[in-house]
Parts: sequence; structure tokens; C-alpha cells
Amino acid sequence: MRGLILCAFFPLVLACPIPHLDAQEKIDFIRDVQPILANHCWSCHGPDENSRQGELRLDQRDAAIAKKAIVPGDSKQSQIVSRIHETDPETLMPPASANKPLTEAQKATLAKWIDSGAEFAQHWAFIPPTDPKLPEGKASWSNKPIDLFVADKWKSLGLQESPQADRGTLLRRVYLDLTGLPPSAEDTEAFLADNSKDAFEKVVDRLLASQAYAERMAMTWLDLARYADTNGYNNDEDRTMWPWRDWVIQAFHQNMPYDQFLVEQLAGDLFESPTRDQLIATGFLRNQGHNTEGGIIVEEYRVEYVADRVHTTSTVCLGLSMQCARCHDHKYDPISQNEYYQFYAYFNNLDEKQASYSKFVAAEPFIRVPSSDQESQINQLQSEIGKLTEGIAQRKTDAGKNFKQWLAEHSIEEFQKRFGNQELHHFALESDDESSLFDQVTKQRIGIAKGNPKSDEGKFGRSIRLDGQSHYDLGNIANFDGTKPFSISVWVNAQEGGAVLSKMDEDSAFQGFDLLLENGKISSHLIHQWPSDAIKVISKPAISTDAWHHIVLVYDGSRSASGTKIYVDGKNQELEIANDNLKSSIATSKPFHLGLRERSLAFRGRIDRCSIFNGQLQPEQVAELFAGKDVSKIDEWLKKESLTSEERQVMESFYLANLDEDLANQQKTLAKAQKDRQNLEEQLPAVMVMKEMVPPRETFLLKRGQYDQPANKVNVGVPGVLLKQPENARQDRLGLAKWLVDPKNPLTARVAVNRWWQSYFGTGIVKTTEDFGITGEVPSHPELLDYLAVKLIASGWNVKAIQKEIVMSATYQQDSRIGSAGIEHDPENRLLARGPRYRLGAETIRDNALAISGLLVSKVGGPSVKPYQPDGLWEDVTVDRRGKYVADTGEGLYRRSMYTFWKRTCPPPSMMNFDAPNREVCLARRARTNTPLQSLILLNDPTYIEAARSLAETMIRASDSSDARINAGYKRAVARSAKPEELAILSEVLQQASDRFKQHPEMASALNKTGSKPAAAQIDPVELASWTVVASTLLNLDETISKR
Amino acid sequence: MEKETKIRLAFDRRNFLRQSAVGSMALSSLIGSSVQSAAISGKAPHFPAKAKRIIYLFQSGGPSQLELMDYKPKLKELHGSELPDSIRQGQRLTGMTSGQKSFPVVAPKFRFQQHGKSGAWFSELLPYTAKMSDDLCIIRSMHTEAINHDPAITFMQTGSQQPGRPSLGSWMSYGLGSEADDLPSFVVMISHGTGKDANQGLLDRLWGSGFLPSSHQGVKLRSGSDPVLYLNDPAGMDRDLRRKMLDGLAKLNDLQRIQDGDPEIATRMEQYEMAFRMQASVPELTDLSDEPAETFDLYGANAKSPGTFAANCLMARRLVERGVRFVQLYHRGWDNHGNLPSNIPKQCQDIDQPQAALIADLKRRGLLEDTLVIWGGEFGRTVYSQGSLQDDYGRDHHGRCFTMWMAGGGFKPGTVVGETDDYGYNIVKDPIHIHDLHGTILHCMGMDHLRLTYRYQGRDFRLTDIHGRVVPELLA
Repeated sequence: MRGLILCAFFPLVLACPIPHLDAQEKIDFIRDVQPILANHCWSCHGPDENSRQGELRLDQRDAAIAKKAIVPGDSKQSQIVSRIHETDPETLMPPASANKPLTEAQKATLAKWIDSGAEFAQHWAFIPPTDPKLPEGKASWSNKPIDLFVADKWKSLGLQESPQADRGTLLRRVYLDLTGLPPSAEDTEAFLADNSKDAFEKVVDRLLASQAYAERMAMTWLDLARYADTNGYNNDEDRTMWPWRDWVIQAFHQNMPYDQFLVEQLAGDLFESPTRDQLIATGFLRNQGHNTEGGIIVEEYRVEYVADRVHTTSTVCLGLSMQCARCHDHKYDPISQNEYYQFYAYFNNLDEKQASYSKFVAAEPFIRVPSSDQESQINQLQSEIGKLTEGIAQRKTDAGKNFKQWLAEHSIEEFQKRFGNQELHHFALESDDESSLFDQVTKQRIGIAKGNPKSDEGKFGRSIRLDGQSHYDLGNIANFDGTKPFSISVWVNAQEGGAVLSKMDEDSAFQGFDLLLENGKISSHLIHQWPSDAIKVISKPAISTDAWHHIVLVYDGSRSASGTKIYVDGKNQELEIANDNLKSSIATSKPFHLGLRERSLAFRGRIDRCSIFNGQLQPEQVAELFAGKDVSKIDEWLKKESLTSEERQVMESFYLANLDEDLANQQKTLAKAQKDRQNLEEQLPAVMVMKEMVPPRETFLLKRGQYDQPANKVNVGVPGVLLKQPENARQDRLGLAKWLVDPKNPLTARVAVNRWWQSYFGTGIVKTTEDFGITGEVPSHPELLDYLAVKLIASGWNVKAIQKEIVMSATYQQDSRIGSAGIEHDPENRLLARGPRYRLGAETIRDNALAISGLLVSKVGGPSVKPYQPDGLWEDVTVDRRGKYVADTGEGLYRRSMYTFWKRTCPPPSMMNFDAPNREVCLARRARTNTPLQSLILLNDPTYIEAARSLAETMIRASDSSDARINAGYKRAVARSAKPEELAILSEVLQQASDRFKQHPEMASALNKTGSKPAAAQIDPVELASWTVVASTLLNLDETISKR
Repeated sequence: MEKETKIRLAFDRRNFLRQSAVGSMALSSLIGSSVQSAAISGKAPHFPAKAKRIIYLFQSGGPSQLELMDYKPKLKELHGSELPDSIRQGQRLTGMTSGQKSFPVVAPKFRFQQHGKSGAWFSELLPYTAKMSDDLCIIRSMHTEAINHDPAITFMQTGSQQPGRPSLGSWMSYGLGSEADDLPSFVVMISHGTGKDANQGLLDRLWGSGFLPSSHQGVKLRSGSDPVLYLNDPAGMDRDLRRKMLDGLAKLNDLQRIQDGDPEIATRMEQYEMAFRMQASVPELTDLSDEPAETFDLYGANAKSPGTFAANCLMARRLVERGVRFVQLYHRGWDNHGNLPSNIPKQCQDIDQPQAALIADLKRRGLLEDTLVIWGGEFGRTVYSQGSLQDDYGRDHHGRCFTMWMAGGGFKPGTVVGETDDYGYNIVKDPIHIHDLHGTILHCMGMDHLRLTYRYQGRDFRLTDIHGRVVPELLA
């Protein structure tokens, strides 16, 4: 039997409380008592009314005293003290079933607290920060506020600061922290040679001004914003939200004030005439996944998306998990379920359209975001389209005049020859042979019967009867693309609804058109892609079943619902417009069906006289059809002496549609321009954005958080315990955003500075970066946290200023070596008596290697890229095994990792194994684990082998001496020279590698072939391979993959 | 060379820990931290465990209970009749059939027979599995609220329909740790059904660690030359040279550790050594040349083709033999909205012999009693036909009832639990929810589902959320 080896595949995260200060210290309610009450009592005796037992609440002092649970000053008389010491399991509190027994120490704390008066206090994080008094400091060390607060904590523990880190280490630390990249060998040399007093500050200023800083700041924002390049869920299609990522980078680069940074992302669309950038910013709230699975219930997921926005916003801005209050009142924090849904209501007012699977671009609403080149092309096309549209309108105005002119130049005979009939097909349905249909226009039988259509008594003569299992497939006729007018006339006598006729590709997002009888109403779809590119109109009155009705669909080719008419029994119907965003072609090669869509919605009843026309039928012509006549032959009208004004109108529109060549040319040019614009627009990245609904959607409290369990209606509102909104606050997301960044909001600034602190020191001042609520951890340095929060607000939310203040502190600049006392008393460095040190994050590990080796391509922004990834990963998990990952060639292989294509259902393994999240939900704090899979990546991933070879080439070129080469490698990798012992060890590795490759030169050539860049031809392959092994060792050094 | 390396490694490790004053400190803090985290996460079982490890044979797409193991003789006469409203009871349907006007009942095309002492019914599609009848604990009364793949499979694998929670395997890894020192504690393998290409995706979150530390996520074991991602040294690097390089690296890191006093450096050095051991242990694991011909008679010839369900079953046995805690298989292709009678026999042929062989193999090796084998999909399928009734009919998703089976690991063998109505539509006896199954699985693994918790964002999360119970009827 194998032994239990605990460390295998386990994170060695040392989970320790903040080192205890003084056992004799006074009881502090927030620090000592509240966690006990919250964790052990409040589930049943807390804010949640529904789960409250015995009408006792222990989260309010008066209520607890009234019930005699607490008698201040007298623990012996206090019932909670007796109950927690009960020996009878029936009456013991907390009950055994809660699985939350109290320790003796906790019991003692409660008693001590009651004896000392049982004072409650408002949770620290819900009280706005005030500028704390600076402690008296040790001037000899540092007088900077951060350092004074940190050192103040050391006094009672007898701790003292570590010396400043050596300059090379410090330079590398600040580079990695501010930019996520190491200093180049030249940067290091220049810094070491700069003896001026402000040498370090100059470096900091330069780094803060760099794009790399902005990228580094944006990188951590991506986890919070659950940014990804695909939708997640079953189908996981690609999306193009990267312009939002670019916006974040530029916001940090320009040092956008943090309040504005939040407000634009939460409500940029609600500014008065928002800029495109402000709209893009709201992509923050659209970065969540989108499920396009075939059978989903749309409302169920829409509710999840709203809940996700609530969770993300509250975690990112407030450090609170509002989601606990989704199903019931929060158990610990004073947030009721009602307040949750008030908060939810802000985000519920988005008409997020369910996107279809097969042609996913984005879920509406979205905007297309062109580059500047694309933008000028579009403008040019737009002005051309404008001119053509004017020209076309003019031709229409002049139609009467031009027609006369035409008639003067042409003979009636010529007209007759060309336009005797505009009817394309006419199925009278008179024949008893049901196997196919006779077309009166082409004079031949076409199509094929499916199932069992039966000839039956018709409106005129005979008709066909369909039984719900039958239809006619008439082949590829009526192939309209939606840019030209057409009309369809048909008689129906329905028993049940269904598709009267249709030409549609159901698998291609329903591309095509149909005429339906749905719920007693006539409707029609013209679709390129349902529902994002389609028209749907529904006639308002219902029609009766088991009676004959005449239905005509008339469409003018304008791709708008307003150009679509439905006549029932000769009358133009008032239409409900259910969808009106058709932009693209409705043409499909699927057959035209009578009595069925492609597969669904079979029609049951009789159909008679179906005609298809290639123009718009005029009302008079519809009336003729309804009266059972043929449509007037226009050529016959020409012989008439005088025309009525209606007839004249018909003639003119006929002229325009068929005879006006100038118009036709202009229309052709217009269509091409529109097509060009459409093609161009389809290439533009679609960025999903926020947009309010008018009128607003009503929000209801959802019982147990279930989408189909609405209870009472709620209005928008904020959790009052934090900060009341001003009377005149806007009742929308902008109002919410302003409330979040109100200087009196107790959380927003604290949460922000705490997260930044975490990115420098590895742990936040509040360790639970994502939870500032009652069950979160209390701050290790409350005054420091408040100082930074107040400073942030007072500085006008100046992000760079705070970063600078942190890295300029002596605390940050300390040596990070750990003495034995440090390991024993403060393994997590919560007291900050040494500098920060920990393994780099996923992206930085790779970026660092690319930078060290000189492979990094430092292009900023743009679409995501695909670096090396093992074959077959996507095919293993994707629908129908499609969606092969094809690695980029060229610069895409060497961009910073924040640009790596992020597929939610199969994220890049080299990132995941270093603790990156899959980006399905907001994450404020990554774990930091150590696993052998990480070692395998650093040893074997082609990224790192290629980087090693590239570094080897640089080392070889640096000098002829081995020691100098190793030193050059060390400088690049860890910003220092190698020590003699290190030189000796690496020389030995070099020797061993060299011996091996000399014996087996084929191994050397094989190693040199890894990656897409060719090996330097001038360098001897054996030498190059040997140095590659040395360089790979350097890239794997703990020192290289750590900040120290 | 292998033996030499091990000895040298042991020496090196001892050496670097002893060399300096902080050495012993580093060691003790390593051990200390493990003990500490054990106390927090309950690395030891809460009570004596019946099962030590799990093999989960997930059938992705939703296999039809009606064609496999939930025999409904009345369907023959009900065939073609309309599903009565009294049976459907307004049950919500997926967007794929909710527009359907008619719901004709369709009887399965396959013959059923009783097997074993338990007299459990199996269709003719599962002859090998049927022979194992007396080892199986069959649940015909599983149910779920989910009616679509993504939420349903996420529910089954994480206890929640929505993304963000840790998977079953990662809870096990978190709760119980690993028994293998050179293999991951949670391994995932995927095979593709011959019935049809799967029109539903698998998702990283199904074996993800959610809010648990990422070291608990499942590690994919793939067919092909690089069974664990990045396992192989690059071309041109042989084992001996790799060893020498790692020795150099260890020495350099150790210098750093001594200088900086950071115990985490020692931890990271351990990972390199473990990686090196994995580079040997994984190929040894995946090299089937030590299997006698008889193995392939048992599992079927497909077991020789890497990446098949048969090969993955054999690999699962080899993994649990080596102490891997949780082996998660996915077999894709069960989503038979149409052409069910043509496709399902192929799917069954993929799985029947190998899964029966796995049980028999574990049993004869004495592993079945403390290995839990779980079989099932994310939901069942409707008794009514999707679309009009056709010869090669299809069935839509159905969460109201479906069939799973367990073998070994403390589940009661030779039992059939639960019963559905004559339509195979509703449960009429002993409903078992996914949360209940999870609670019972944890129980067999020695863990109280109420006590296996992880605090995240101020809340103690459980696999069973706020639900679930241990189902006594399922226990041996």
C-alpha cells in the first residue's frame, strides 16, 4: 500500500491568521467577537428573518439584551454563555447539527466580551474611512506615511525593518511589479551606474509612463472583468470583446481617474451623447458568458447574466458578495433579499437578445468598432450611399414625367413583349393528380408531394388538403434575396396553424422567409440570421379557422418591416413589428415549401390559388385577387384613354420597378455600395455594450433566486447600510455608478487600494480581497488601508500616484530574505518586516521568459493571438469536434500573454496550470500553487525551449568566454552577475550537455529545431544546443520565476 | 539508470535540507503546512471510508434510460399514442420540443431480459454489463431540474447548474488528498462515441477547481505521445541530460534557498523532482506491453486503440492501482434527438464490454470493494418522440427520471433502487436527486457532505450546496 503523501499536488499555501499581537489586549468586537457570532450564531440568529430561530437575533445589541441572551457586564447571567456551555446536547448552542462547535477560547472570548460591557460596533468596512493620524515613527528608517503605519505595528512585537534590497534586485522587483516585464541588461546597467539621489524615482516615473505599465494594470483587471474571447457554455463561440481590453489599457495609460474608470465601465452609455469609447467601456458588463445551446430557456439564462453583473460589480467595487442575498436575506451582512433585487434592477434593464448558435457574432446590443482606416472607408461609402439615395428619390419623384418620355420612345408591342406578366408562378391547385403541382405560368408540373396531400373542394374549384404530415416541396423557386420587391398571394382554410409556405434553412439560423399562421394570426419572417438580422411582422387581428381567407404578403425590397405588408381578405392589416433589423441576404437554396417550414410547423387545412410575383402588388391588384380575378395586365391599361389616379400610381411604380434604367443602375450601384459597407462592417469587431430599455423592464424579487418565481415588484436602490443615495439621484446605472464612487462610500476606495496592495505584496491588507463583509478577514493594518483610501479619493482618484507611493515606500523596498524568526512568526509576511517575494503570476512567467530571451513582441492592444498550444485540445471538447486551434505564425507567438486567446471551455493550459482562472466568473484573488505540471511546462513547452535557444544565442554572441556568457545570461534573467559557485555549476551543466551533443550531433540539431524561429545559422549546432540547455536552466531558476 | 536516479534524488533532497540551518526549519514547515491544511480541509476522512477512489464513467449527452435499463413493457401497447397530460403534468420542455403539437409515445425497439439474482432488466444492447448485474447498484430514479446539456452536465459534475463551483473530482482531491506520489490525484480522459459526433461540448469547468486552489483541477490524460501535457522532454533532450540539467538546477536553487531562507524554494524544487518522476511513471502507466493478452480478451480489442472508451477503462484500472484518487472518463455521443435506434447500438458497443470488464477486473484484483465505479449521463430522454413518430425516432432531454448505476465502493451490489411510471416519465418510488447522490458518494468516501466545506467570499460552500442527503437504500 502506498503511503499518503500529502504534499503531492497540493498547494503549500501557509494558511495563517495575522500574527497575534498581544494576548492581554482589550477585546475588539470587530476583530475578536464578530467573527465568532457571524460564523457560529448568525445563520439562525442573524439578519435573515426567514431562517431566524426563536425570534432571537444576535446581530443587534438591543434585541439580544431584550431577550436576555446578553446581560452586559454579567456573562453568568447571559443566556448565550450558559447555552454554549450546555452539556445536554439537546440545548447546546450552536447545535451539533450545525457542524460549527465553538472552541474553548472562543467561548472565553464571548464571556470576556460580555463582562466588559458587550459593546457592539458597526462593521469596520461599512464606516467611511477617515484620514488616520500618522503614528510617531522611527525617523531613522523612513518618514513616509506607509512606513510609519507599518513600523507602528512592529513596536509591540519588537520587530524591525529589513535593510533595503540591493539595487539590482530592487530594480527587477519594481520592473516586474509595475510592468510585468524584467529590466533589460542595459536598463540594469544604466540604473546601477546612476548615482543620483532620485535614480529610483526616475525609473518609477518612466515605468509608470510606459504602455507596459498600462498592460500590467489591465492584466489583473481581466480576471475581475471575466474577460474571454469566447462565449463559454456548451457551444463556446468566438467573440470579439478585445476593443474593450484596449480601452482598459489606454485608460490606465492615460491615468484615467479611478472613479471615472468605474463610472464609464458601469454606465458610459448613459452619458449625454456618449462617445464610442464610453460605449466600449460598458463592455465590462457584457464580458460574462452567453449560452446559445439549442434548447435553453432564454429567460433562465438572461436572469443568470443579470445576476452575474450584480456579482461582478459588487465584488469589483464593493468587495462584497451580494450573491448570498439572491435566494434569501444575507446571513451575515446586512443586505436583504429585497435590497439584492433593488441592486439587480439596475442591471435588469438591458434588452440582451438571445444570440443564435450557428452564426454567432455577438449578442445584441452591440456596436461595431472600426480601426481608423476602416472608419474612413466606411465614411466614404456612407457619403456615396447618401448621394445615390438622393438620386433614387429624385427618379421616383420624376416617375410620371419619365414614364411619358419612355412611352413616347417605345411601342406598346415592345412593352407587351417584355412585361406581359409579372407573375412568376401560379398554382391553381385544380388537378386531381396530387403528386406534383401544375404551374400556370411556366405551364409545367413542378415539385413533389411529401406525405399525403389530397385534392379537395376549394375556394375556387379544387384545393389541396394537408393533414399536418404532408407538404409540397416545389424546389428552388422564389429565390428572393430581400433587396428586390416580391409578393405572394394564397388562399387558406386552416384547421390548425403552421407554415402556409416557406423557403427556409432552419439549421442556418432560419435564413429565408415564411408565411405562417401562428396563434390565429398571420405572420411573416424574412431572415438572414434569427434574431439578430431579420424581420418579423405579425398581423394584429386573428383569423378564423375552418373558413377561407385570402392572404397576400407584399414586400418592397427595403429590408425594413415598414416595407412589408400583409393583406387579409383584401385589407391591409395593422402589423406588430416583432423584429426589424434585417441587414443581409435572405437567399437560401433550400426548397420552397407549401405547408411546412423546412422541417417544423406543419400546416393542417386546405390551401388554394397560390401565386408568386416579382414586384409589389398594388392594393387594387390585391383587391382583384381577392375578388377571384386575375391581376390586371398592366399592358392593357396602357391602351386606355385615361387612367384613374390609382391606376396612374400603379403604372408609375411599375415603370420604376421595370423600365427606369437609370434608376436600375443607380440602385445597382447603391446595392454594391451597401454590400461593400456590409462586408466591411461584418469584419469589424462587434463589442457587446449596455443600453437601457425604454420603457424599463420591471424587476421582481425572485423567490429562491429562481427565474420563474417572481414575487413582489422592486425599484432600483442601493444597500442602505453602506451609504444612502441623495434624494435626487438618477434611478439608473449612472446613478448607481455615481453612488459607488461617492467619496463617502465606505468601500470602493478601500477595495481598490487593497487590490493594488495585493499586487505588490502578494496579500492584501485585507487578505480576502473579494470579501470586505463581516465574514471577510479584518485588515492587518486598518489605518494604513484607510490612509491609502482617503489618499486615493483626495488625489482625485489618481491611480498612478498610489502605485508610486507604494513602490517608493521603504516597506516595499526592503530586502526580501527571510530570517528564521520570519518563518516562525510571520511566514506570510503580513507584518511586512521584509520585502515581498513570491512566484510570478501565469502571464508574467511567460512574458518574463519572452523578454529575457529577446523574443517578446511589445505591440500594444488588438485582437487576441494564438501562441503554441499542444494539438487536439479543442477538438477533444468542442461540439462536433470542430474548432481546431491553429497557432499563429510570426509575432502572434511572442506577444504578451494577456493577449493570448482565451477559450472559456478550454483555456490555455500553460496559463491554467499557473493558477489563472477559466474566466467564467469574476475573480479578485488567484491562488498561488506549486505543482509538477508547472515544472513540466517550464521545462518542455516549446515557448520556453525556443526562449532558451534565443537566450543562448544572445549569451554566445556576448563573448567568447564561458563565464562572460553565463554572466550575460544572469544579467538578463535575474538582473545580476553570477556568483562563482553558480558559474561552476552552470559550467558543469554546459560541459555535460556539450559532451552529450558532441557524441550525438543529431540530438543537437533536433533541439535546435524547436519552435518556429530558425536557429542562428552562424552558430555551431552543438554549441548552440549546449548553451540552450544552460539557458533553459536559467529560465527555470526559482529566482527567475519569482519576484524577490 | 532509473534506480540510480532515485537514489541520487533521495540523497540530493536530504542533502539540501540538511545543509543549512534553515534546512530543518524548511522541512518542518513543509510538513507543518501540510498538517495544517489537512486540519482545515479535512485531508483525513471524517469517518472510516468504504471507498478510497472513484472511477466515473460519464456518458455525455444523456443516454436513453428507455433503451438501456429502465424496462417499460407497457410502452409496446402505448406506442404511437399521445402522451397524456396527466403524465406530462405541465413539465417544462426544452426549446427544441416545446413547440411540438403532438407528443407521440415511442416504444424502444430493443428486447429486454432479466439478469442475475437481482433480476434487473437490461436491454439486448448491454449483454456484457447485464452479466455483472449482481455487482451493480442500479438507480432508476435519478432526477435533475436541468433540461439542457450545459446546465445539466455542470450540475452533475459540480453540484450547481451555473459556472463557478469546484468539480466532484476537485472536491475529492481537496478533501482527501492524493495517494499517488508521482501521478495527479484527479485524472480526466475523453473518448468519442462511434454513434455520432457529439453536438454538445465538454467544458473546462467540469473538471475545474472553481474557487478551490487550482492544484485540485483535473489533469487530462490524453492518448498519443504526450499523455500529460508537456510531459515529454523536447526532441534532442534525453533522460540522462535532463537529469544532469535538473541536478544543476537543484544545486542553483539550493544556493538561493540557503541565501534567501525561503522554504517555498524547497517546495518548488520538490515539484521539479516530482515532474521528473512523472516523466517516468506516466509512460510506464500508459505502456500496455506489460498487460497479458488475456486483458485484451477481457476489455476487448479496442483497448489496444488509444483514446477509445475501452482503452480508457483499462487505463482507469491502471490509474487506481497506482493510487490515483479520482478517474473521470467522458464518453461522448449520446445526444440522440434523432436516429436513436441506429446510433445507440454503436454507443453501447463502445462501452458495454469494457465497462463490464473494468468491474470484473477490479473485483478479481480486490480493488472493487474500495473503488467506486459510477456510470451515468447528465439526464435521461423523453418517452415521446422528438418531432413526428418515425422509424428511426429520436428523444429529447428528460430530467424527470434517468438511470445510473454504481459498483463497489460501499454501494449495495445486486440492487435496483427506484421506480418510474409505466411511461418511464415520472418517478413513482424513491426519487434520488443529484445532490443526494453526491452526498452518498461523499459518504462512501468517508466524508460528511455537510462538513466538507470551503470558505469563499464569506460563505462555507459545499458540493451539495444547501441540499442533499445520504441515501441509506444505496448503501451496502
